[in-house]
Amino acid sequence: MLLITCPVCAVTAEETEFSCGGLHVQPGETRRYARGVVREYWLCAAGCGSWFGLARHSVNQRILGSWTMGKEPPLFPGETA
Amino acid sequence: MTSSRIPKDKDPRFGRLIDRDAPLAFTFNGKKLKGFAGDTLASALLANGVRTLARSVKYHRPRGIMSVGADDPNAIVQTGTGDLRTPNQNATRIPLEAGLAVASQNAWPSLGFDAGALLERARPLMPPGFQYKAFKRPLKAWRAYEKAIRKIAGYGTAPDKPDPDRYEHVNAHADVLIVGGGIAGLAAAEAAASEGLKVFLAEAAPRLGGIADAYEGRIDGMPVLDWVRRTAAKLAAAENVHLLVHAEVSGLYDHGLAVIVENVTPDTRPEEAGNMPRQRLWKLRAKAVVLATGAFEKPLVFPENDRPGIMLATSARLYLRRYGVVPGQKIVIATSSDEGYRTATDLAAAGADISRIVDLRIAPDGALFHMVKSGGQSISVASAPVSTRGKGTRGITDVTIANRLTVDGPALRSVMSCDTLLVSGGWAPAPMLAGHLGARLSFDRELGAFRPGDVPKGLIVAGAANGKFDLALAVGDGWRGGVEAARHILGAAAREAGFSAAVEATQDDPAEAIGSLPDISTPEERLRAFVDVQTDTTVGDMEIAVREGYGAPEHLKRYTGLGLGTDQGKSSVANAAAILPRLGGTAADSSAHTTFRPPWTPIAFGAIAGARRGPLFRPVRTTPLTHLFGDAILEPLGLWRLPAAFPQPGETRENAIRREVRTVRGGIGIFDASAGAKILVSGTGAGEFLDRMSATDVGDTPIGTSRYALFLNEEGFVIEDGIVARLREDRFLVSTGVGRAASLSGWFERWHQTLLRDLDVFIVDETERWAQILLAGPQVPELLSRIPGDIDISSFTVDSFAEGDVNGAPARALASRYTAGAEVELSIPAGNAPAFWNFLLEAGRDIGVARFGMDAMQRLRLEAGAFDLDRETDGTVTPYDLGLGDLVSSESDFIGRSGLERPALTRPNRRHLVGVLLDDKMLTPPPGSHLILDPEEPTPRRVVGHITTSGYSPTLRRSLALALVSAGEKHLGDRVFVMMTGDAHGAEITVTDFLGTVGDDA
Repeated sequence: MLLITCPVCAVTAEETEFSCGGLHVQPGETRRYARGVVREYWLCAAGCGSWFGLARHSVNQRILGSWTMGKEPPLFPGETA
Repeated sequence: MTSSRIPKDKDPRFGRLIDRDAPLAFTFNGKKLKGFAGDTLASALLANGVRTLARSVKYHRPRGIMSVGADDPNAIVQTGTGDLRTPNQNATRIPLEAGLAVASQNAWPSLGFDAGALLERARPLMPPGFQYKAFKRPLKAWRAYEKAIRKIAGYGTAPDKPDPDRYEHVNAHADVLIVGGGIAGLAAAEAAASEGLKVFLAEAAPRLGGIADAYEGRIDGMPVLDWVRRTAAKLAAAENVHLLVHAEVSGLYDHGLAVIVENVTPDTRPEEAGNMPRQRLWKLRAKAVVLATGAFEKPLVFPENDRPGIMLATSARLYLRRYGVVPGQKIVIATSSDEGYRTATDLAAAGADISRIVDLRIAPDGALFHMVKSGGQSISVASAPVSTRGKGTRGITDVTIANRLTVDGPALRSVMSCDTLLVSGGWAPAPMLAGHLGARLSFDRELGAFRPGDVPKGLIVAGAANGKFDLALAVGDGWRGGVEAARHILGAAAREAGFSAAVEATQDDPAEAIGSLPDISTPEERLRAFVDVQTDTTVGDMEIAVREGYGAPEHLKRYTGLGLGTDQGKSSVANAAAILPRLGGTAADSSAHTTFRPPWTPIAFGAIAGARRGPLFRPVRTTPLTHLFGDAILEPLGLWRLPAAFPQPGETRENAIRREVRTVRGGIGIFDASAGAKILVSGTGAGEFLDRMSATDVGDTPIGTSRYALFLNEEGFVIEDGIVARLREDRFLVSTGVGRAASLSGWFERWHQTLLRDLDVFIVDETERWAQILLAGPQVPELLSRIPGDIDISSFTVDSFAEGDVNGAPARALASRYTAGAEVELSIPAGNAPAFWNFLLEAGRDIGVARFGMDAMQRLRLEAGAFDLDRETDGTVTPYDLGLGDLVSSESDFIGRSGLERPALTRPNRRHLVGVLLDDKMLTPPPGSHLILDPEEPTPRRVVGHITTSGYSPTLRRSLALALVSAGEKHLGDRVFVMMTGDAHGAEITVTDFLGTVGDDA
């Protein structure tokens, strides 16, 4: 189970305190889940109620980073565009 | 003779853990037996000479205790009776308690006479995979087959009453989790703790030390057990160490999460347990995990190797040393490692007769071998057991051994009578928990077992689990594990001290990775050479599976059942991997093994649930009015509990629904609509925001009016409908039907925060703040005129909305349109609602005002042909399918627009919502009933649609149904047939507006 830190309110909590909103894609973009780094929307559901972005490795579950809406970071090491 | 307890004063080394002054009575299959405090259930059964504990799952062969630990495949019992019954427990893991009631599993009708044992004679009929072939036809008979198979092949009986025990969950954090409290685990804990790290050590057994008590030798100048005691005491006193015993790590998960099941109170009645839970489930987060989970002794694989009386050599030694139990009096030991010699020495000291040691190795040359040999013990080297014979539940009576160097020749076989055969195939590391994190283990041919391969960062395997079996190696490797964990956390700041204490121990001769002996057996014999004793999988079964194309480990597992038992193949995984390549299956050294998944050993559902059961399972939402509905039938809808109907005394539910419907059509009914969402959207961008969110144009709604709107998801499917009212220039109120409040405001919030964040919008979910009371029926204007307040609804039209004061409280009034009649929804502050509800009932008494529930509302909507979100839309229905295409905006770019334009969503033959009127007016087809065109058509017939809602309409005095039908809009007036329990009933496709089109001609 993932341990996630909300970039808005800075709380670190269990995955079950958050809610995953699926892939972080722009409207009209058709990207699918893949092995490797994936970017997702997450909601700090039991916390501040903010949506934020999170990059996660879909195989080893390492979290590479998270960001507030509109501040999407450049490619992470190992990530393909 | 069978197993027994040795006399008290035989040797002080034996029976270390039991207190002979504290006898405990318990029962096994109803028979009264006696053990001592300190016994496990397994040792107490052995001390009482109990040989057969269970019948095997497939062939119902008698089976006895094989091991002293979690790897025992046979000693699966259920404890307790009635509601306290716990199935699938391992007798080796249950501490003996006074009054413990134990029963065998899988023996029907009884352990001694087992009808299922006849199955063994039928074994040629049951090759692996037989269940896939034999019971296929006829399809209808499968239910009968399944019932019979379950009875024969079950794993115990689940209790049929709620579990009265208490369970609790604990969350904890640590730097290092050490799994296993043997010598390696203790050394690892000491190393990590000396760095100042917060260390958590979990040991599955009730004691620390693992199997250190099976060995001589000295650490730091003192006997191993004394070193264990000293280290444990030191760790217990340290403030940064938490020792947890009788606590099994059942699973490892991502980001350092470990789930640990701690046994707190033993299996006694809950009232005696006081305030203590039976088990405590720890959810521990650790930055590093050291697996010091030890190793399992491998059994030998040879024909008839599963009889009661056949036991692992080291386990037999531990039963003697710990509990003073000898497994028999006339013993043969078959070994491929030095463990057999250690056990022989002990058993001889305890007075047992070791007839022969059979060593599989060609030329053993270790110190232990020479010591035992010089003592005059009869030893056959380069030999192996090739068969056994026995007497049913009394177990083994003799063993046949053969010389391994002469391939086949009966002359070189000899038969020895014995009551016990102890076997050792060397050790197999047990780092399987690493597999929970996706690590693959690699097969070591020298060892004949899996070793930890590429493990994730922060996970360290140490000690015997890492293949370091000898005392000195194990303790040193444990220390290394602790140091590596510290280095993982502290980086360069960690000190790098090695294990400094001196270790004296005998060096073992390497064991031979024999595994199995298919080379000196016939195919018939191989069918009786068990690899996985618990699931009755033999070498012959594996051969068949390979021959039939199921030779890959994952296929083999499903086809034969290998490793699928409650023990998850602890005793079989290594042997099976060694044997498989020889049979032509996938090569073992390509690290092919099946996936290891939690739980490592079976855990109770109660422990998983913890306190979240009964009313605490999940919260129940109630409206401000629910407490007034004591006489109603309350039903769950999502988290809500809402009144379905208000039956009067003696009235059936259906009659209550019809009465309530008639009341609304002919007079006036009131309905608690508080569970519907009320979302306030304000800000200068509110109109534009709602235009984006809704498929219907709502941004230009005039102030003081409302509009019905549909909300779609990105794919273009309807997810919600509701009424959008404009309160002011920059303020809108969205009200939806009952039941989905959380999702629509969450949906709004998501888009507001992500793609529409530039708009000036504030979203407030006011659902809890307002109670909503819906008044419906021709008498609504009359009742409203009797309510004091300043909202004038006399001029209300279908899209009116007003705010004001009602009955002394601020209120909102909305003309809603669910029932296709006069209808007003009043919102009043939650606190004022009960009084206002009672006021309405009182004020309308003379005009017959009555409450109505969800069921009547449903029926009213059906009469009006209005779709219901939970029934007509299943996430694949568009506004056009519902016949509501004119609600879709032609201009604005709303969420779902591009989805709606996809070709698949505009095909003319999509299923449309239509009405279905059966020829038989009294027949109500249940939702889900299929619609077909021609009952004469041979099966499979073409299905053109299905019923979504149905019910009897008291207004139209006939049953009505809504259905989704292929291209339904084009087939209005056409004939279809509704399939109900195999019969076709004629019906006509109609428009959905039943009230406007169906004549009341009954």
